[in-house]
Amino acid sequence: MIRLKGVQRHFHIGDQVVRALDGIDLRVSRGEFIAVMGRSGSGKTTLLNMLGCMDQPDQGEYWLDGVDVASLDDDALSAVRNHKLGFVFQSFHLLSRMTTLENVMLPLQYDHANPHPDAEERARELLERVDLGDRLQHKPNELSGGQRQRVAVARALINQPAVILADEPTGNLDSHTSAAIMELLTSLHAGGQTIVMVTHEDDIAANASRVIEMLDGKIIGAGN
Amino acid sequence: MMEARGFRQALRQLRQHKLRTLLTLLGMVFGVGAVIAMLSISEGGRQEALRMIDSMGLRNLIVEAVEFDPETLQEIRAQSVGLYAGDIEAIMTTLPMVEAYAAAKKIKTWDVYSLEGRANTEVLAVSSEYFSLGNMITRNGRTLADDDNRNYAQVAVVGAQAAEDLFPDGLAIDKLIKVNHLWLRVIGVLDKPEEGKKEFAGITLADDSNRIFIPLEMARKRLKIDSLESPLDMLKLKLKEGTDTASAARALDYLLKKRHGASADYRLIVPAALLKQEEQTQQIFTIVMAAIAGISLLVGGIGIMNIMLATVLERTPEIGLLRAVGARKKDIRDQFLMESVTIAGIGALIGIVFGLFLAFTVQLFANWPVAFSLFGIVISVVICLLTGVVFGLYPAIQAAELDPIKALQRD
Ligand SMILES: Nc1ncnc2c1ncn2[C@@H]1O[C@H](COP(=O)(O)OP(=O)(O)O)[C@@H](O)[C@H]1O
Ligand SMILES: [Mg+2]
Repeated sequence: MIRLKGVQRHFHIGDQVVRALDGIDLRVSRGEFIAVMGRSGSGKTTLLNMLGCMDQPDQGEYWLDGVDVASLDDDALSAVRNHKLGFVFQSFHLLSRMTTLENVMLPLQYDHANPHPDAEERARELLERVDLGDRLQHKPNELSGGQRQRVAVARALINQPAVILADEPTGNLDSHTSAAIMELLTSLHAGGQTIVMVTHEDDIAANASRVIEMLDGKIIGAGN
Repeated sequence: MMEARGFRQALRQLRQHKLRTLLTLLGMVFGVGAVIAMLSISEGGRQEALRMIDSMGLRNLIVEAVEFDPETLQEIRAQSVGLYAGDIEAIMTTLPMVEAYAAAKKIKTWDVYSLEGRANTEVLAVSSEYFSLGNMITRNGRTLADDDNRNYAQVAVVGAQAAEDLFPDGLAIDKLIKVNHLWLRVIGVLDKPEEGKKEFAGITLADDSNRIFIPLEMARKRLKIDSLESPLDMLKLKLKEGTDTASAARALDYLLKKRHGASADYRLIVPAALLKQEEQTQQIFTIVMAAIAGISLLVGGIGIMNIMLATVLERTPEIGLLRAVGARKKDIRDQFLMESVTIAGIGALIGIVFGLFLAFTVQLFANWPVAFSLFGIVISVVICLLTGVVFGLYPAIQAAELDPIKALQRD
């Protein structure tokens, strides 16, 4: 599903080089739930951006679902994000002027290849699945943090993505709502969804099927 | 489909910031409003002028007798009898480019009535060509013919308004009217001309509708005409097709100067020159208008650019999110462009309504002719939309070129 080979990503700040990713080799199989751990600045977010086709490697290969991502142009990367990926962010990133339902439907609006006459119905189903069937017309500021993150998960699912990428999805939530979100992700994983999640909390990572540890742009350990 | 959704999203976005949007619109609204108002007013004036010039006839030259106060008249008449048949003869024999002529003489009246009504009209004694040179046609009956002049026929052609006053029941043909002491038989009623202004460039135009026309020769023979009066008041000369009106006018002026000496008791009017003058005035006006429009659109455009840059800054995280869920650079650019164009379009629409309102207010209170200029409206809308594109493009490209990762982090 995902294969990274010798991926490097260096940032140049003045005459200093930050090796955010420094030779990453990684395979993720279909149906895996991976937790990426490591201390702050170790390169987790950079890795997730890379996997999310928001950034491209300076060196190395990235194959996603049979596509050689490193060779794609900007429009093609957009299409890959639109068709194959679902994002969940720490700070939710819902559009405040749109209703819950519209937020969930949003990605389909940018699917230029296919019409989606059933978009609204699908969004409704997904919102029911995340227990927000009665909040369809609410605006994000009328929802709690946990509810917002569940809307974001529903949005990530609307395009039936190959992989869900979550960068500290519980980072802004209290432990109780965090547990609910993790329950949701776990149930998605149980349904066969591939997930890559960044976290620095052990009990959150415990939900994953595999944990990888990063330090200074390298993967230093992988286990179950 | 895409465009409709983009437009709805843009409207929604603008509704969220009503006051801000309104303030941005003001520049556009006042600019377009001023342009539309002025265009409507100038178009009204132009149509009036053209209609009047046209009614004088572009291929015609007009010679008018100048009116004097009684003392000056005595002196003038010592040198020149005024405009008279001899002038016509001289013109027709020496100026080959003159194809036809019509002569007219105002008759002093003290009484004009019929058995059915009374009219306060002007009586004009004319040669038979007067009607064809003025493109005047009758609604009923016929115009004057050469025979009427030759036979000193006591007949008259009446204008539409005069006919209404004299014969309220509508039937005028073959009825009698009395002008001073003379009974005349109505042989024709003229068609009603368009309503309009009666003066242009200092020239008073005939309102043929309230006039009675009688044969010139008959009037000379049967009505008393003061010997100090100019024998003719107006002479209209029709030029042959293809004649250069300017040089014909020069030749005519030369001839008349020679005949009338220094008396300056005539005035030459060249409709074609008036048209040229009108066009020049129009051109200057157009340039001024374009300058005003340009400046106001520039101001409006800068306002739009300003607001769009602020919007891009404000919505940076949103742009990052949209890119993450698959929006292309082009999608982002188009979305912001759609917003700026929508602002411009709304500004244009409000401006047009405002401008038309201004124009018709002016018409109401200043009594100026106003005409609705469709061309001006279409041009205004197009240029406003273009302004929206031009001034919205830079912010839109800025939005599209944002690094999605950094945009998402700016929260
Ligand atoms: N756009 C960038 N420009 C410069 N340095 C960056 C940029 N993005 C990340 N870095 C640096 O790369 C390193 C890894 O960052 P990041 O992937 O965000 O770490 P983590 O998510 O594990 O905290 C950090 O030292 C960070 O400062
Ligand atoms: Mg991070």
